[in-house]
Amino acid sequence: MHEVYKQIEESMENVEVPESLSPENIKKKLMENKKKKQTFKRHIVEIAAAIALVIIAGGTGIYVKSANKVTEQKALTAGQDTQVVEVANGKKETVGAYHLAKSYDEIYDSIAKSEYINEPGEKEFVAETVEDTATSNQKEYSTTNLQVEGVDESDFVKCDGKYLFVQTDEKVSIIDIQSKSMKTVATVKPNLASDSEILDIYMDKNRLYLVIQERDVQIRDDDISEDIQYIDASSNVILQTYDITGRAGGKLLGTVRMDGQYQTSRKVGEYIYLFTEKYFYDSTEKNKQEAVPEINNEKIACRDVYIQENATNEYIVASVNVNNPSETVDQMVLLNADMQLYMGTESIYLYAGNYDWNSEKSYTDIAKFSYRDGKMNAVNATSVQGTIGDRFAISESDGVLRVLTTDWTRSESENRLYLMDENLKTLGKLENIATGEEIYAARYIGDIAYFITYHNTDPLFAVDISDPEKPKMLGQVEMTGFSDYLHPYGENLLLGIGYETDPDTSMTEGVKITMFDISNPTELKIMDSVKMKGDRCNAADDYKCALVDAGRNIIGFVVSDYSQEKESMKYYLYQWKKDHFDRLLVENLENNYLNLDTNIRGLYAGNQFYIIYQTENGYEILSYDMENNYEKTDKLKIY
Amino acid sequence: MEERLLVKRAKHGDLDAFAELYGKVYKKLYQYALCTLRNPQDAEDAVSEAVTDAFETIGKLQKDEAFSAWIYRIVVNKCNRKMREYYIQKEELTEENGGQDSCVWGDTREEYMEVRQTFLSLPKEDRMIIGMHIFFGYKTKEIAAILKMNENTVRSKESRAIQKMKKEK
Repeated sequence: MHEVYKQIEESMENVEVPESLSPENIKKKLMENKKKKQTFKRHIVEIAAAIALVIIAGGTGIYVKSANKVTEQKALTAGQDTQVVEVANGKKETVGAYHLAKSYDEIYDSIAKSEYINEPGEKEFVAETVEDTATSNQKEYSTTNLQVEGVDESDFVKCDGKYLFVQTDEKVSIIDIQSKSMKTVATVKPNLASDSEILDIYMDKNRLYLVIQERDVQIRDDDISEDIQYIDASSNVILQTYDITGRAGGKLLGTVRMDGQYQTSRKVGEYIYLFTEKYFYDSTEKNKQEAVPEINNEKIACRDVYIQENATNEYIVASVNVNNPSETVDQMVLLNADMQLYMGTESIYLYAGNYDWNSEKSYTDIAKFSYRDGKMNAVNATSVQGTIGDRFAISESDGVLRVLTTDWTRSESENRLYLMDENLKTLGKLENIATGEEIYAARYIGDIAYFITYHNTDPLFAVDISDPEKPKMLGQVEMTGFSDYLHPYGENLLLGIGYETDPDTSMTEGVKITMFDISNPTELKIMDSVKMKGDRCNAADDYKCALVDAGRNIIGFVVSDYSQEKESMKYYLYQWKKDHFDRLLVENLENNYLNLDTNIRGLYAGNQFYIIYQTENGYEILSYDMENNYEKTDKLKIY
Repeated sequence: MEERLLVKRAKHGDLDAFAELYGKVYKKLYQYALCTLRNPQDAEDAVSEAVTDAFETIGKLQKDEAFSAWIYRIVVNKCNRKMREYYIQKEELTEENGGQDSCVWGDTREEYMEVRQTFLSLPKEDRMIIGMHIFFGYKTKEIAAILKMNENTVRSKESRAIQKMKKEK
């Protein structure tokens, strides 16, 4: 820590914390609150009510399930807004507790009435889920580790085999890696407003896509203190499409601008889907007017806005056809949505875990939307017991949604597997799995659901889901520690990346990788595991950091060790040799307090291996000869 | 007990587990709130409100997210909100409602008074950035994300603040 910081810390070391904030007094206060609490998060109850309604409507045949079916029923009349109807060429009228707005006034009215809106969630939107992305075909170069094969995700590094595209805050550097000495051949640098930055990139063939967060800091006329300007800053997400034919630079082909803070995005074929979120800070008239988000400076039509009462935020989705990069194909807004995304090849699922203090039950609301060629529409919504603890625990295949939840309702936790049809009707479920434990990692491979639960030890379970109505437990294998990330490795192996723990104290004792033999799911076996000294593994926390490629037989990740005076970060590379892990490389990466281990990527192209990581004053790329014992061949700095 | 297990218990309403988790970080929470808001009462309110929100919503905490990082973020947001209220109420933040009261700061050694004096006279944004570094151990990239600012902007604000602190000494 900087000397000046140490002084500040010392000067505040003896600050007296008020008695009311002592853990004992806080406990008392919370105890009283808990007793008083009757109507925590009103809208939760409303969701439940509306879901019940949809189900009833479904039973009487009013509900139209297919997104592209069109009913003859005319526009909705007042008082009928709870009925489930579909309008020609438009979006489905309701989903869960949401209904489409009939006017902008209706949107304004649904914004919470308080002057300062309490937003207890403060949850960041993390996207995700994966399935079956393991391909054992040998590839020429590595690509971003995805959740779902065919649903591309952005990252700060992309590779096309001949060039690396590395994004730093202000620009994207194009690096020629065709020879052993790397060379920056071009940069694509957009004109950015002062508080804007590139967040991530996509690339395909001859096009580069920049996802940019723009912050428009508005200085008001009345004398606002300079310090708090940014609080009032409005945010836009910009998608810029560049032609990079020849790799000599970029020619801007088009720009789309939408409201909100970037949450995540996906690219499916020639369509990019952007997800943003916007909070309302109060319900003044001005804010209400701004509540309807804009895309390319035009307000989104009210018939694209799903509303719910007492909204404090909104979730905005827009799709862009990359051949027409200045326009959106479709857009959709959900008011009052604090949700996570899972996007499969067929559908978009938005889900949120909740705890109801009245019934003391934990549950997850799931809303399904169809998408195709950029067009999106609501399908249905449902609710399952328990919460989804791992991004890979939700997955869709052939119209069947598979969800693994951990339920905290009773004194002991309980895990469940739900299998739902295309309309989110439960086909089958498995309950009472691993009582007292929690699901840490999951992966659906073919007809089997694999998952890790953890309490003091780490069992890997295999459940047969070939018949969604009758899921069947096949087997389990137990070991110490736990895996946080599972990745199929070829046909018969499953790799776990996680931590070793002391079975008695549960204290973590280092990073651990484990290879499971899954050739016979009724007889799961542990083949080998390797322990590394350290406190954190980036691949266990963020799957994009994991390099796992069975075709090329390569496993890469970073282990950070905070126990030393100087934090260390090491890039580890392993290969699998029949029945054991074999270490190929350990690289000690220069570190300082500005670095994050999630900003490190390892990848290969041809016979060269690359590590891209952030340093104090930019990025650095290290390259190694894979054919020659991983000897270091070059080093390139990007400023 | 290990944090993972405490979080697990707190998630289904175990107040003791929650209080234990809170006990590990509450001093830092208050220190951050105090140096950001400069007013002991507001700092107390910010932490108190944050902890209430945290308990109510702990069910949403992801398994791969640390309790500390999560409650830090809630406190940062609470402090932002307080600052917004200052603006709306047109309340002037002066030495009087924060000041160098020894009951608050606990330490009246002159060298420390001077350091605090300089630190507290920095713009709010700088105090937040530095406070997040010192008390919450955040990295620049994380601070940038929380404050919704550009990483480079955070970095340059920081180095300017450090220069200023050095100069004043």
